[in-house]
Amino acid sequence: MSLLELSHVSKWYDQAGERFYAVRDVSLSIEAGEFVAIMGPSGSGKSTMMHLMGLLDTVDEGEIRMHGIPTSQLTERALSTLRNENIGFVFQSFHLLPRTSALENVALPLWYAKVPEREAMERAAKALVRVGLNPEEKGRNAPNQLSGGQQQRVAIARAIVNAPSLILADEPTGNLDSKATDDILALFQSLNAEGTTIVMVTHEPHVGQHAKRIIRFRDGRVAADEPVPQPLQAGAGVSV
Amino acid sequence: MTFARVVRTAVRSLWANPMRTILTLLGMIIGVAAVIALMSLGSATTNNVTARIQGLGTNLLVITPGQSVQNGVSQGLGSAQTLTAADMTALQKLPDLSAVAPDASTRVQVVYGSTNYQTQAEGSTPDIFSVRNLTLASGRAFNLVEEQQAANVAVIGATAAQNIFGNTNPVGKTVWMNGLSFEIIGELASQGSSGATNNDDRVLIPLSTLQRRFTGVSNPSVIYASAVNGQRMTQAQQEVEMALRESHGLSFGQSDDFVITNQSTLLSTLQGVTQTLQQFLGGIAGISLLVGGIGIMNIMLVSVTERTREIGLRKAIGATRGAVLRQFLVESGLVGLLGGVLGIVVGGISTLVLGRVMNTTVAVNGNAVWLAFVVSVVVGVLFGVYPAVRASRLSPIHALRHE
Repeated sequence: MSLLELSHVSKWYDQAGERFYAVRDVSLSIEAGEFVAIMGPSGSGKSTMMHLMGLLDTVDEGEIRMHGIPTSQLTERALSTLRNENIGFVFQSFHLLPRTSALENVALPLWYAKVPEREAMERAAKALVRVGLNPEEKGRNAPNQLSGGQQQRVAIARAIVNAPSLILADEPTGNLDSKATDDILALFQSLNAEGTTIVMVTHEPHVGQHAKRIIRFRDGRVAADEPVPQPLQAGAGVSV
Repeated sequence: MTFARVVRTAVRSLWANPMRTILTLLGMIIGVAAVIALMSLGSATTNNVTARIQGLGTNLLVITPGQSVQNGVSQGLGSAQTLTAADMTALQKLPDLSAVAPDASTRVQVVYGSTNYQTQAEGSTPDIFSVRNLTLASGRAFNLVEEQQAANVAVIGATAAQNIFGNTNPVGKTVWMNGLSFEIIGELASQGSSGATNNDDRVLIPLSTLQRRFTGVSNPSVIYASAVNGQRMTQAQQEVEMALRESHGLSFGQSDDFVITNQSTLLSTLQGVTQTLQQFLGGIAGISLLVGGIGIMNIMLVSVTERTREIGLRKAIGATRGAVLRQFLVESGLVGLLGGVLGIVVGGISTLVLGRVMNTTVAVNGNAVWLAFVVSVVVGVLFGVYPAVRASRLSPIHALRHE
């Protein structure tokens, strides 16, 4: 069974009496353990794709199955739970809560999952260690006291803290310099090596080349879907 | 999310904009403080009125003659001369009355040295002092012997004494009243006024003296009676009515030719008035609480707009609608609660200050404190509902994209 299976998915917007398709009749599946890059020019539908895969948005046509569960008929509450337990999000602008320590930011999904307070803090600390931040030191800092790369690490720690089956990253390196970009990509590759499935939206070819498979979108349709023969290894002296 | 976490998050977000939070709180503080101050002052007024009337004797029954009808025209209350000495004898036997005092009065001219003063001469028996709760500032009351002998002695009221003698002690002085010499044997302590009559502007003399020297009329114009205690008022009043009907020979079906006024009825009427006034003031203050609540709603709406991205993020990582709703309700409830607590402090202080300025005894009304506290929390939560619902309905993708 695929981790994520999209069959004939369409998403449209009605504007001034005309129907505009953001995503049109897309069928694809993502297996557990994959590292997929979704690429395409702006307006190609890759962001919409990302929202649909993240169950943040609902399809107008077709069906998305997560672990075989059809999601189009689920209630908002059920979708919330499904996102909380199965999907970790990483955004271009980090989306960390201001005036809230890194550790508490990471623990946030666990609080919504009603994990007991102590366990939540322990797991959050572990997640910070996993992304290379010291919970005793950087963990106490508020986001505005951290560098961009560090903030994105905190966001990744938040994404993995609930041990999700899928990490969805939307332009995760868009706001970072090349050194921080390399660090984040290295982190993704090592998480992937441990078995975490990663889907990453990017418009930078260099970043996309770090994935094992690239799906290219154009005008809301899949233009190409092919494996990367030799993915670039981040943290191996590769520079831009 | 545990409730403790929700509260911590709410505190943090309120703390993030201290000035804004303080201004919002101010609206609530003023509302709550106004409710407490006005209701406390209101109940202080009620207590003062009550105390003053109780000072005049709450066990008091006032019996006045009924209206006389001449040629079909009613002559007004007390115009009939229906109360008699026989009535007095009948009333004195009643078990629920502790004392009975007849009373009649006339205007007299009091002359002392070069001072000429018009006042009310009131004739009664020594029992009047206990029945009307009269206390003496100095000197003594007249006694039964003086009453029986129609002695020319007088007890002077505080206002009359002040006007005739100034600051000198009137006791022992001799004055002329309508050309007759009277010895002042006592001075009454001030009782204050009840309605239009000043209870301090009068001289008290034995009833027999008044009747023989001044009026020539032997019937009392009013009879004052005091019940044994406040609980027996109703029974006492019934007994008085029965006794007087019998004494007046009224047959069944004939209406009373006298009127019995009950001091406690007057008291409850006045208390009703002041309580209505108090509730009215509380209601006005309540409106300012409402305005404070609208302030909360306003600021919560701003907060929801500002934190759209945060709400989007929370929803993306698994916050349900209910969780977002709760978060914002707790936040607005917290503003209400804080405003309530601070408002109680401010209201308490201003009540005491106002009491001192107005020179009256005030006590912070405990009911008002509870009411204001509960209402402010409820107002906070209620006015938070609309912004919270708006927040909870935000779509995560739109919220995340929000700039």
